[in-house]
Amino acid sequence: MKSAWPCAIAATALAVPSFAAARPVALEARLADYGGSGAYVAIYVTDAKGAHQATLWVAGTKSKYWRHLRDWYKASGGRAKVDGVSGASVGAGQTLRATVEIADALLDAGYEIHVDTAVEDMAENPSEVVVPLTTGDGSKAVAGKGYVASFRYTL
Amino acid sequence: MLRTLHSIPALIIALLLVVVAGAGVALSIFPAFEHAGAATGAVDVATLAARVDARLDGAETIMRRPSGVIVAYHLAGQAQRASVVDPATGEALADWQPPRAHRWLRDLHRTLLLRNDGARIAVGIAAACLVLVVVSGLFLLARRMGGWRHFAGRMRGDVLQRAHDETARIVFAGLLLTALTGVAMSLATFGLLPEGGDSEPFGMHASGADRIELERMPALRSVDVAQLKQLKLADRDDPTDVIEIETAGGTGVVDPATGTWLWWQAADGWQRFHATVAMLHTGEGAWWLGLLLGLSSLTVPVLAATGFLLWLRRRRSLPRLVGNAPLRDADTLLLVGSEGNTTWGFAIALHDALVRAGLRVHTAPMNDLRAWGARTRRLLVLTATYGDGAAPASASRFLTRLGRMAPAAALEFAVLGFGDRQFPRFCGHAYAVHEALVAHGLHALAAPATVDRQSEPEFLQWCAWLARTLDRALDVRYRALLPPTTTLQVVSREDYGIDAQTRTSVLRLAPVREHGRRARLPRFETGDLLGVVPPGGVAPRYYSCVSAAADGRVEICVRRQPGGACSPWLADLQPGATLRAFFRAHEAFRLRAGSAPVVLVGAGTGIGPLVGFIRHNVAGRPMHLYFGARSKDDGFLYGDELQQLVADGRLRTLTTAFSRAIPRAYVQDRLLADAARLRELVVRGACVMVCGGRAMAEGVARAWEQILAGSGLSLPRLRAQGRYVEDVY
Repeated sequence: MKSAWPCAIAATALAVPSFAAARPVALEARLADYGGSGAYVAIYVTDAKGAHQATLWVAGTKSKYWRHLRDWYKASGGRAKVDGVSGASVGAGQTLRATVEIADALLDAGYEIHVDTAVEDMAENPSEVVVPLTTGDGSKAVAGKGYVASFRYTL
Repeated sequence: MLRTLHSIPALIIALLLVVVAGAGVALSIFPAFEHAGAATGAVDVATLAARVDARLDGAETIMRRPSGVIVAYHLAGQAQRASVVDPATGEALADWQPPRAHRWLRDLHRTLLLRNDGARIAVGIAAACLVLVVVSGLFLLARRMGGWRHFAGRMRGDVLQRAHDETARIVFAGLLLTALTGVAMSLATFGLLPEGGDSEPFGMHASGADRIELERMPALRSVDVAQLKQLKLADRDDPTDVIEIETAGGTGVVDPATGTWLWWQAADGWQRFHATVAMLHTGEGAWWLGLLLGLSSLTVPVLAATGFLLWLRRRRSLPRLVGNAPLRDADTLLLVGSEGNTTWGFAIALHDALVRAGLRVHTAPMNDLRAWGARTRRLLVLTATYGDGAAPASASRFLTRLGRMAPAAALEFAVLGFGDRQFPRFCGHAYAVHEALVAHGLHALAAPATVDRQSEPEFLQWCAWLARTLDRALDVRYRALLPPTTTLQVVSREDYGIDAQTRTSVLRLAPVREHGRRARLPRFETGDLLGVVPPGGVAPRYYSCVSAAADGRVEICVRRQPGGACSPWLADLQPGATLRAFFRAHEAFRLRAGSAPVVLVGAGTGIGPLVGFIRHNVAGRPMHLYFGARSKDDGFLYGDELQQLVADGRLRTLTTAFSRAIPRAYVQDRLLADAARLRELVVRGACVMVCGGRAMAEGVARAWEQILAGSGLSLPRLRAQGRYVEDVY
């Protein structure tokens, strides 16, 4: 299961190139053993009203299925920049790990990290994880409402 | 060209397709299986959602599987859980999970378990090749059957060819549908087809007022569950959250406070197209179609294997020419029209003989004709016929090319046609070529001659004529490829006839233990041919088998023909003597299964297979035998046994005609005398089997034409239905 191998990726691309100052953030999403095919996962930043600010990671390479990551697709209008921040879908019971750059301006400013998931033939879970993006709360793991057993980010 | 389009892609993708189709067959079972477990009953989405919401705490999403099974996702404690629910009550029946086997098979079907885009592309290309193979195969088959009008007609050819053709004819539609939809899905996967549809707009919120009951929401009431794909309920803790619904008809957002549409978009053409394609390909939502397509995919290994063997057979008989003169130097142009390359075997023998006789011969496929050589004096054409009078593969463009060429009045020509008398337009292409050459101003040396079913004597007879015409000695060494032989020992013989030189013998042969292996006979049926190569001979002679392999003995009738290459030797073999022989299936002369009456007509040794059919008629099927012999005391083969067969009911009637009695009578006279009864039998479904010499068979056919006149049936029609078959020598 290639897609399921825990992937540690050090991406150098800027998540939000327009912000000058940025720092790395490590993302970790462990999926439950939901018993389906590989999951598509979108991890992204919105403001309090849900407006898209930055896409941190998209797992699943077929863009035709991205519409099933519903909140992310809706919020970004399907036009999010994903260069350098996308990878293979994540198998059941596997963990997605990625390190990406995040603009300092997004930290401690009322923004949220959302996680959307979707699996073929199974339910879609838009915004199954919603956590505030703060320098303090980072390492606390939270469970999602869908396939995400635990999610945390480390700044 | 058509054949290349058929064979080459098929060979390349065969193995891949067998795997992909195999997985597809297994997958096709799931929709039917799941459908059987789905609850039925019409209900609207509002009612369903209210029932589920009432029964399951924390219900989040309700999905309807294409099979009709309803699955609800709900929070159980901290974890999400998927349950199959009863749409009538909303009650959870069981946990739901996509079957593990289904996922594995789907991975195999889509990516050969490699799960990468390279494999996806390979499978997509295989599907595209399959479209090409099915379409080209369809045109090949139509040509072989003699045009689209005869597409549903009776198949001809040997077992391998018929297995391939008959299977293809049944499943082509299913395979084409599977392949086309597979290509469409593959293109969609790689974004090469538009997906259609717009994403729902961002920022839609509920009005925030108190929510009304799900059951009363007009938007949800307007959607039938049969249309539902997915329904996401509004988050209880978020007053601004909305209800999102996806149906077969489109996508929408509902305000939980009013129960009305905030937004609705009907599915557009592309979305409906992709949905239809997916349904047709997977059978999800149309389980019976899935099963049908699965059954047609099941034949892919059969088609691949038989197709490969046919291709191999054609390749093996590819021509190898020695001493082929260039066209500009050649005095003799030998053109060959061949479909399966068997005609090349004869052409090469003739080519070699002509070269040995000192002629400068240029031999080529008929399609290679571009111009006459400056020194060409004569043209010899050896051509097969494809299907019902069509040109074979290597002659498909000949007539068009001939039309464009300069007239060549000085050229003389002869045409030899190869064919199978079972086909209504026997050697049709040879006659067409002959006519075209005459019309083009060439001088015909003779009317076209024919060779039936690769008959070596007929070929050699024509070569002898050619030798006389050219005034050269032609040493034609034709060697048919002989199958492996079996050693047989003469067990007994019975002789009939007054003159020892021309008597007829019934020989019974048994297999001999060889190389320490158990003595056994290969499979053969009554009416199949025993090929015997006489000592010092090269070409086999064929004798119809009276017995079948199950009888444990080979029984044949041999008429001694003084001066013959084989029969005097064979007819004089005494019990204990051995010979080597092989069996050749004679599919066209098998007794049709069923209980319909059978009219058997034979003369001389032609009685052999007919007696065999009667002996095996334990079921007492009505059989009527018309048998012609010289006289009651001369050549009346199986006379006593026939009386016995009548007595025990295996033979209904026995009618004999003796050509040396007074008054003399032939079988056709007896047939005509019984015309009324025979017409009645045939109208009621009887089949007719004729075995014997050519003259007798022609006389019998004329008699049947008279018998059938005015009955609404005709001889060509009976032949086309396989109800009038001949074994003629």
